[in-house]
Amino acid sequence: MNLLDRSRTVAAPGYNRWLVPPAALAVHLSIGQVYAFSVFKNPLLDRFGTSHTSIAVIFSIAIVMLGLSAAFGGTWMERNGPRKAMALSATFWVSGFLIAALGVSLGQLWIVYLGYGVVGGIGLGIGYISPVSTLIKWFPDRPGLATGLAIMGFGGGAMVASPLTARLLEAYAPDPADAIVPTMLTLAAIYAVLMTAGASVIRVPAPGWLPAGYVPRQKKGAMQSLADVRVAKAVRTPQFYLLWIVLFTNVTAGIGILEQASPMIQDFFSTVTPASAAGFVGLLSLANMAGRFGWSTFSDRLGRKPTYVMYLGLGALLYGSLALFGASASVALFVTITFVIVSFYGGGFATVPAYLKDLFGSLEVGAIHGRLLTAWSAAGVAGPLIVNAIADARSAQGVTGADLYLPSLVVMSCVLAVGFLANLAVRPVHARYHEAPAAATTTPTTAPTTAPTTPSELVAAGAKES
Amino acid sequence: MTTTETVLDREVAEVPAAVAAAVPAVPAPGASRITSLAVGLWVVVGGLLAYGVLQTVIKASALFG
Repeated sequence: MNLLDRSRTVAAPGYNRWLVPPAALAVHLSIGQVYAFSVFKNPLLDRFGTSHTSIAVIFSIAIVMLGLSAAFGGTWMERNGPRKAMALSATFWVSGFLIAALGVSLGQLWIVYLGYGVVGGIGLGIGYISPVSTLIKWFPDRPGLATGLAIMGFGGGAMVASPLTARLLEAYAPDPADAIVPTMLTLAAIYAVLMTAGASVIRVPAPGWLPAGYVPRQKKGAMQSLADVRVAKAVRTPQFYLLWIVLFTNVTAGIGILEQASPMIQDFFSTVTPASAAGFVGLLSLANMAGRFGWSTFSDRLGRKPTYVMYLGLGALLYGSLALFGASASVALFVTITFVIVSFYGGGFATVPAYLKDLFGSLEVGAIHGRLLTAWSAAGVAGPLIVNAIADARSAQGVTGADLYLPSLVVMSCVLAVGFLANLAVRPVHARYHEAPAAATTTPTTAPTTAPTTPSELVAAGAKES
Repeated sequence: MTTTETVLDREVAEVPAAVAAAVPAVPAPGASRITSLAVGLWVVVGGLLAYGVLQTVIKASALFG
């Protein structure tokens, strides 16, 4: 039997579910490096002697491929299980670094596009969704905590990779441009080990498993359903598209701050130095990560829909207040408001899989989440385009200081208001989309004989635990 | 009851809950190894996260310096 098969990852009875999150974190910490790609920007500019846009395209391709691979690979992942998906993700992600290093070595930028952008981007998408649905299945009583744990790792990955990459670039050569190849090879080796360890440790619960003492209950009229909806039906529901809008607006608005954080605070306050502005960017990274875990966990108590009412409604008001009073506010107030906005951005990312679980059940939540991540790709392209186009137009008009950003802030406030309305329109999924209970208890595995559904098979699955 | 059910399935299904709960007490082969690996991975990812947070806090402190 193949070591990567789903059946080899079914946990033995009594398996401690708290042994599963480090597997998810190992993968997300690795692929989260993509948000630290900017550390390579200047060395790549020196190496290729090209424009900023040509280098920025590498990141954009990776994010677009993330959405596409998550969308198309989600169903495959649900069929084949998280270990095979994590192994595939590790293969693509590490190969992406190796191919990109080859491109840098040969001086061919298109090979870097192909490597880090296309191949690495596929690894990003598969790796992003693979542990999330597994954790949701282990924590049906606290799905917000589960998704927050995993997706926090993605935010943390950039925090680890950014200083690590900077140190490697310094250590390997006096000129960072000459250190790109060994730095990429070192990162590839680290991520290969970390992701392989994650794939080894990952376990899925046996079908029908529930935490001790947990009894699923459905309140009348609640958003949460105990029924399951398959991905093919989920994408035909209005709820899926409403959540797509919610995620798109949340990401677009978050990028509105993150894209221009450093110049923005310096233009708002003449007393802020470039070094302090770099500190502000660091603080926003902390807000992003803290929001992923904190707000997502909080959503288990508050409920998913009210949590998004807070993210989008309060977020729109905070953006509006920055536009109206940001220039006259103190630095401390400005920093506090932006901290909360970015924490909502991170929270929106981490809470959406739990929202999907509430609406569509956990049967194919990974595949549905994958389809929804196309909203991230779209926002990753639209967000910077909107923000930079407005800033460029204002700059061309000779506008300076805080006024440069006012239209952007107003637009982002309106974008969040659209998401707010979309969230308000979300209703429980109609019963006609639900799977029949018998079908919903089995996983869509290609090897049905290995899926333990009876006591004897469960005993056998336990014996296979290794 | 489906045709794929065995005598064992019927017998196990009829075992009192208290007895059935005792079944998982027998550890599966390799269970301790995977537990050790998972705990070790907790330490590694926790250390990496702590490193990342510490580096970012140091960077962020420049805002207040």
